[in-house]
Amino acid sequence: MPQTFIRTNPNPTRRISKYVDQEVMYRHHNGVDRGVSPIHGKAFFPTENTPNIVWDGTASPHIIMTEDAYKSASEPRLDPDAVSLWQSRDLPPYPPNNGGEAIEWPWIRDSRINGLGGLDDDYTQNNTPGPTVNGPRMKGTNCRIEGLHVFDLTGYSSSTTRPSGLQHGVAHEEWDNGYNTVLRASATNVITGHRLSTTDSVGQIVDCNGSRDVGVVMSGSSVDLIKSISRRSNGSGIQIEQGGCRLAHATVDDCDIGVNILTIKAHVSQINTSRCRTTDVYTSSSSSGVRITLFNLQAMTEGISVGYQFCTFLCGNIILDDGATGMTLRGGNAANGHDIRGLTFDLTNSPSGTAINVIGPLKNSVIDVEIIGPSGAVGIYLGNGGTSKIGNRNRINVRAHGGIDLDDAIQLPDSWDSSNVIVLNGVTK
Amino acid sequence: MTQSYIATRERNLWDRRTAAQFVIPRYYNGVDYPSGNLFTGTYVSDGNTGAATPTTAIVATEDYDQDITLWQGGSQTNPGWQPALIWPEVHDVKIVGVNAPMQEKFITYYNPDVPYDHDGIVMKGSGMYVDNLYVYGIQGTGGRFVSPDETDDDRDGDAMEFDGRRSVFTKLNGINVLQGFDFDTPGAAIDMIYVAGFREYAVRISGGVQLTNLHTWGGQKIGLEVTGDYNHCTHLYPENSGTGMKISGDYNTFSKIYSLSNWTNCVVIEGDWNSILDFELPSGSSAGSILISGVGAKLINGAVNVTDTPDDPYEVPDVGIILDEGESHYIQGVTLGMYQRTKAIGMEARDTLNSCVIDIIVVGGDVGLDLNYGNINRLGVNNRIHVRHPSSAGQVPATPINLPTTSWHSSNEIYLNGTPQVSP
Repeated sequence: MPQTFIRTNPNPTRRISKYVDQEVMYRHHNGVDRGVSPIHGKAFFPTENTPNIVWDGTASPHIIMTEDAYKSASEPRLDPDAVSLWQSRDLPPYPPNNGGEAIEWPWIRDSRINGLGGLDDDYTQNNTPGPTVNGPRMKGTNCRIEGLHVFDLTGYSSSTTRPSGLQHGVAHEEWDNGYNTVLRASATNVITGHRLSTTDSVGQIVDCNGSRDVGVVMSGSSVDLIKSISRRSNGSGIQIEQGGCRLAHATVDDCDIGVNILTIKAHVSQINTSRCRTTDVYTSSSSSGVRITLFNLQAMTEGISVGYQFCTFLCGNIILDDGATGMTLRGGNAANGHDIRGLTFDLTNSPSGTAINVIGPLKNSVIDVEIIGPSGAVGIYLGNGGTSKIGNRNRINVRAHGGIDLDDAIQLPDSWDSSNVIVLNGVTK
Repeated sequence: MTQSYIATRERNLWDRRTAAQFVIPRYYNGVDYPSGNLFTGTYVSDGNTGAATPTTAIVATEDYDQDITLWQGGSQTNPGWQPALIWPEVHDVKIVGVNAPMQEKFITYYNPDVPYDHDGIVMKGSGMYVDNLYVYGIQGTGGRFVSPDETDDDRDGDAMEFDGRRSVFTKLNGINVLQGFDFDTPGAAIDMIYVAGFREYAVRISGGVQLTNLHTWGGQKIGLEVTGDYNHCTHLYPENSGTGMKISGDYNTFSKIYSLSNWTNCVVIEGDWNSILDFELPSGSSAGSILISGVGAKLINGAVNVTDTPDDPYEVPDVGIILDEGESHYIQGVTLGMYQRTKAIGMEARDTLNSCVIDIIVVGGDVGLDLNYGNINRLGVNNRIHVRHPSSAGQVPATPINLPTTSWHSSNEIYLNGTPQVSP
């Protein structure tokens, strides 16, 4: 019985369109009318003809670029050379804008880039082989990337931004849309993965497998990213750089830092990390109000490093390698006002590990955790003898078992403020 | 008024194609990567689905039943395996089972005597992308998706151009199948999946999957079956089946679950260290709306309302949560509603509890929390239990906490409405 092979391929994604070096997405698809002509189903091999790649006036060339993408990021009313956000210009009382017209609806779909950049497969790579060449740089409204794979690129994989401007400075017209989206974007062996740089934008299924610096970057504020896998980074797997971002459904492994939070009020939920060499989740010394829920971390060195105050960690499991630390509450205000509940620290294979290391002093915090560990492991370090890491107004409740010495389940100083409530296995300290 | 008709496409997208079997080839042009794809249309087997490959499926990727490598460059640990199959795509496809018109009523498949015959589509590869797939009337598995069984360490050399992309499945629909969709695809992203009318399971996932927006109903056995570890699932609506969800893997996370009218359980947790945040289960069951037999379950912010069935004096009481395993649970902020159900039980500990946190609200019913199930003291050590109930008429359980009649260990904290309970 004959097989029926389906070979015909109507999708031009498959075509090997070599020698497409660089493409500029002009604001007028036909030279006159609005709407950028989309890129659909193309393969780019830039370095086969590197001399043909033009520089865009910035530090490095881009394989795909929206027209005027390199122009000023200032608001058009402040910089007449900038690209406008909206089809119409600002209304009074703002001065009329003489800058570039808006770039509207640049779309890239079902395309791929083979950078042939010479990056090897070793995630510990720490140099920049060859000239820097970046993937798409798109600045406009309603930018869309949907189905883009980037391979072996000595730059970042893509960047989507929108021009600055007043959200409601003008009435909306036909093409206006301040919403940028990145869907199904992946990268393998790059300096940096895809950059979600547009405020209020959305990313879904944005991945990186092999990066030197960062796998996926959330560099716009209020960015929503759901479903991301970032693996094998010499730097950070996923980096959150602006406030109000939400990250959900993420798997990060084999990175130096798993999820690197450099800003305030990031919400992170449903994440797994493993084999991160320095820290699985890091929050900076200015990252207040971070919320992390539903997580499973396999801490090789340090599960969570907390740099600032008023954070929530709810419902998670942290499994420690021997000698690792589950969570560190760093100094200054890093141990202030936290809500840490429903966490299980599994030190079964970490007899010399520590579940929570408080650099302290701990203040105004709730810690309600379970610690499973053998003799020799440390549960919560709150001081040792005369060295106290406890401030005041804390409520600590620990359930410890698995053979851990009860004196080590919570290591306490000689004395502490009476406003603290500390309970270990039902016994108030 | 003159209407202007515009043909949506130049060709009839839904032409029926009939063959013994449709095979998606390894190379799109017979030579080069990536693989081919399956384009829009209706695919029907002529009934000889096993003719092309030993795999009895209407659509199959090439060498589905063979060992193939995960990587474009081949495998160093399995050099004899067939080359990789990379980036096969399926878009806007309808697959109709053999003799499907004769099996229009899905109830046919509830019959355990209906034999397993053929699958709808089977795919093995990496970077698979399936978007907008509809399978109907499959006397087998609607869709079976498999990643090659290799790891990063097995790769022969550096990553190549088509390596490293994960599989993505969006908008999958299955109607009237023995089994719905089976994803053995670590790292896959799955979104918007709907299965109605099934016998064994609607959706089954192994490990490392990110699943959103699921709706299953009208099944005899399991809506969502989670057999592997480290999955993330959210926005789930498994209803009207034997069991809504069954979790046998470990370290999975779930959020935003709504499940009702399952006649055995809404959620079964057999694996360890699984977490559920934000759930609403307006459905009672004598077998437990939630049945936990693994350690370390975390249930936070949810409600189980065992009020959907009449308060029949002859029936076995409905139970909100059954703890068949008693180690290390963290149950916080859960409401167990039993309003006007005088026989209902909020939570039953059928095993000795150790290192558990239980902080619940019970409303009405017979027993709020049973810690003396079978007249056995179910309190081990290091438990912290807080139970509250309203004071309004009909909202006070007959027995808010059924405490053990024998003494319990001093490491247990038990509070009812803020009042500590004293061991006898």
